[in-house]
Amino acid sequence: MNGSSILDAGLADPSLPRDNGALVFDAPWQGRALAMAVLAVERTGSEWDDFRAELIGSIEGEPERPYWESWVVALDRFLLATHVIARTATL
Amino acid sequence: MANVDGVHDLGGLQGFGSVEVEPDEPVFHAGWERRAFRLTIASMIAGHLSGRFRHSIERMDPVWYLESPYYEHWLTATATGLVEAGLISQADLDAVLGVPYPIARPIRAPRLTDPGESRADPRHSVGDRVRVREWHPLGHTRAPRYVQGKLGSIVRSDGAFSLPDVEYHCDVKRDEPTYSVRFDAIELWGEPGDPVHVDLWESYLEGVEP
Amino acid sequence: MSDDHHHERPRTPVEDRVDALEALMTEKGLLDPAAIDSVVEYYEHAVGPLNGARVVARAWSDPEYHDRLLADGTSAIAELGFGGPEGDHMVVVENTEQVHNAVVCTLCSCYPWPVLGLPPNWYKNAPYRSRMVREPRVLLAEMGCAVPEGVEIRVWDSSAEIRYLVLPLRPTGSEDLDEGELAALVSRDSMIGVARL
Repeated sequence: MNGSSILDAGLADPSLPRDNGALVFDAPWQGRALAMAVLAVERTGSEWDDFRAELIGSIEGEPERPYWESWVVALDRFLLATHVIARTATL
Repeated sequence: MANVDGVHDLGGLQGFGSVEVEPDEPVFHAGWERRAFRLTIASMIAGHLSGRFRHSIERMDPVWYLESPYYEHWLTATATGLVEAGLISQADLDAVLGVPYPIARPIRAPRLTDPGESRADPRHSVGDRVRVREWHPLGHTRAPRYVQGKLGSIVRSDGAFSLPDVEYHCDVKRDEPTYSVRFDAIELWGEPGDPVHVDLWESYLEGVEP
Repeated sequence: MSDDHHHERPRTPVEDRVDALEALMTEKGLLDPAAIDSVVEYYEHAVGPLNGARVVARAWSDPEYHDRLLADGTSAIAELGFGGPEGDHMVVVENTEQVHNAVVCTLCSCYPWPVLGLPPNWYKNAPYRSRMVREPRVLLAEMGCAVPEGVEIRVWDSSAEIRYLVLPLRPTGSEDLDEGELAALVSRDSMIGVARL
């Protein structure tokens, strides 16, 4: 199962409610992305810095991309690298 | 009862005494704080608090606001937001607690049907002199009282963001340029001192002839 | 029963009210335990001032990074993998021999979570929020941060979307330290602006 498909497709849905001041997240899917990263780190017995290293690489690869989209890419790579998922299709 | 002219608008008020620093302060002092934080995060992630979180805190009874610990503000704003979203009811809360469950006071500002036009191009440039408008709306705003009516200069232009005065009271948002404005102490307090920079939305400001 | 009982100061302990809301949210299916617990854990353990310290240490060590950090705080901070809620729009303000910066949120508690974690109580309480804009020099001295006369104090009130990080002056005698050693020198309070290193 591809990592990105685990999340809702609402990546760029402008109709999602936004909490003014972004006290937590711009959109609910970001919270789920965060939760998934934390769970993934825990369940693979990794360190948070392992995920962060993927995030750094993901941002460096495409600096103009919005932060949370880079996060999702990093999460996908992290899940692959820790063998939680296997690539079944190329995007 | 005014909402924005509320006690949360603390800049410049006197009489509060010394800042008490707790050494090695934990993130949460007690289990209830972590649990209150958790309930708020859950509601925000699910999108249930519909962008009025700060205004809910501002609508708490003033004495209660000043006396209560920080995460009690979060708990109250979460309960208030869920009730106002129709996801839980005041009656349900009262029944579970066994006595009336206190939440923030109702919103008094009318719902806006017309948000006004979004703008992205800044009217002001770095170095411009501006004066902060003075007004006392019933709803949410982010112009602190201590700068209202005061003269300052633009030091930074920060791009357009959703104006809270609209967002908190309307189904549609209005974006406006924001700025960091520098105020001299003599202008704010009538005495020499160090400058304060406040981040303000464009509609809070009036241009001033040089 | 008067409606004011629903809005006035409560007579029940806050723990009971947390219990009640939690029970009701659970009953109504408004609480998803696994996902939420991990987010709480993230904010309690995975973010904290060490993040900001790393940014500061990098800026002290790498002049080009320093310039990028001052030009676009959000992007430069994201290069180290830090970003997200309450850090989407970062401005870094630099202390110099002539300027000392200090940050406050008079209206609530706005704070740059991705680089400093969750704010301490003193930052969120009335004394700091009321006094920092009114008498910063006196307040900083009370808090153990004596700013030399002739150094301008710039107070930044985070009243809109920008979140601020103070870039403290690099301590003298630290020239030979590597980034990790430098990061260990940087206190949270120096990045808020209530301490000098």
